[in-house]
Amino acid sequence: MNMGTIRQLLLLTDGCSNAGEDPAAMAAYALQCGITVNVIGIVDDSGRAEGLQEIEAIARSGGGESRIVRAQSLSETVVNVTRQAMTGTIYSIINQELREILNNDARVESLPPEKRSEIAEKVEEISEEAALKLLILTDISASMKKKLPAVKEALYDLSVTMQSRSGDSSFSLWTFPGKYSAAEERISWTSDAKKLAESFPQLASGGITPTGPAIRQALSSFLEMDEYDEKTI
Amino acid sequence: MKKRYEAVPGEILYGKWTGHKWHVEREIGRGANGIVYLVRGAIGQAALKFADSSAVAAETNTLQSLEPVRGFSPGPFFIEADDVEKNGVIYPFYIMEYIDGLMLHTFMRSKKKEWSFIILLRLLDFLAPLHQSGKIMGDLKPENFIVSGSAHLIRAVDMGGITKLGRSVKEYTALYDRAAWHSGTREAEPSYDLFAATVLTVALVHKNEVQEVSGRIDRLVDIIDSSLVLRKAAPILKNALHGQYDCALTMKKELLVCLSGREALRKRKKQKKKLRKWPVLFIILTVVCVLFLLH
Repeated sequence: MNMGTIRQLLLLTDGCSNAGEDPAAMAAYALQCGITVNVIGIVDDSGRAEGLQEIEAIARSGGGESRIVRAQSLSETVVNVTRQAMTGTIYSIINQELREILNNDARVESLPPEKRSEIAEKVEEISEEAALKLLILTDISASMKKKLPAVKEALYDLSVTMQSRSGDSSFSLWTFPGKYSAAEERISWTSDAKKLAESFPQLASGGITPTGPAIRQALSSFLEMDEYDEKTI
Repeated sequence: MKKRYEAVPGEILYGKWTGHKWHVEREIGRGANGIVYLVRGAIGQAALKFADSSAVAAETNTLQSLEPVRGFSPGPFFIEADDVEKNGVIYPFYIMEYIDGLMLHTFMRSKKKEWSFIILLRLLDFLAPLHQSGKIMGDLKPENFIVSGSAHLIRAVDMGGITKLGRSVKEYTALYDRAAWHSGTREAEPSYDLFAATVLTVALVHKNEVQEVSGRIDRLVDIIDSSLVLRKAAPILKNALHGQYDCALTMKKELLVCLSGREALRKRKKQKKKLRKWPVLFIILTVVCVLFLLH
């Protein structure tokens, strides 16, 4: 099976959006474009978490994973969520194929457990070898101030893991809110994951959190890339 | 996140594919990717784990691949995989051997600190056959191990992190992860586990201190040097932190020697051997010289 490229958007935020389109709708749009949206909500030490429901809703409509964690365990969560979402993406492609071959509600769970184990073996291979394009969209609104060092550390960590994989990986970093638009590209597509953590942006001022528009803008980065690919072909 | 099946004690679960019945006794574990229950079926007590179908399938493969290791498995024996179907929703699960014993950190709570070395030795025994079978543990943390029986064997109860050699580690916990300590990659190789086992040992004795310095390897070494308990094995622990071992059994051997305080003795023996060699060489040389002169 030719897997092509697994495309993911990882949203790191600490609260509710308060401006622009519904982020869950934008995540659903991303999924339609073939991009899985994962969300990690970072909570304070007090464990107070606002916008939990929104975080779950974004991930659900984006076909991805969601987690709520404290800043200390962000690193391992970012890596684990990225991995699980890759597995999830591969499974959803398999499910789609099964539906076409068998019938409308067929999915991996319709097969007996022994067959699933064979599939799992294959999935593991693919997720190790497939190309990954991962866009990280980080909330840098004022409330994230204390959490940004942890985000930086997590991105460094992610780069270490992805370099141990045998497939190609490329990364891009976007932040929101931006100075002149909802979101800004900080690092354009690069296979050098270390860049992610090296040039980490300053905090933005202002209290708006335009999560929805930010997702929409960041998606353009995937779409532009596709156009570019077509031209080169 | 997909919906989880929450079973209650006393409930009977029907396996869709095998038709087997499992009587739920109690919950015994809960993690990021599943819930484990103690159940009783026709075969007796067993552990049942609910997780999503990809996790069930992947863990089934891992458990089955571990078994050929000398009829003894470092983890629980795999029994079967099945589904519960309720209101049209499928909840995959698998059944494995129930390992009775204490979780590593619970075990240590009632013991003196010296036991941390026994735990490390047993962990190395656990890791050796696993590494030989071409895999590493990956997520090596106290919660994933059980100390069982009077021989204090260590067995894993969560196999989610087990990774084939050469791949990138599937799952890990930052506190025990060598990349998070800036001491190497996250590539699956024996030295990755040996690093984690060492941090785990230090953390068994000085949990809070280790958490405080997390990520700074030089401070971790300071903890070892200033610890009355750990000082005895300091050279070995440091070697492991610096990735000097690529074999669990080599580390175990050196640890045993180090703990017995025989290091000095061995050096003396070496000197003796050298001394003994000199007269022999001398005699051979003189014989050669004499023969040469005679000619």
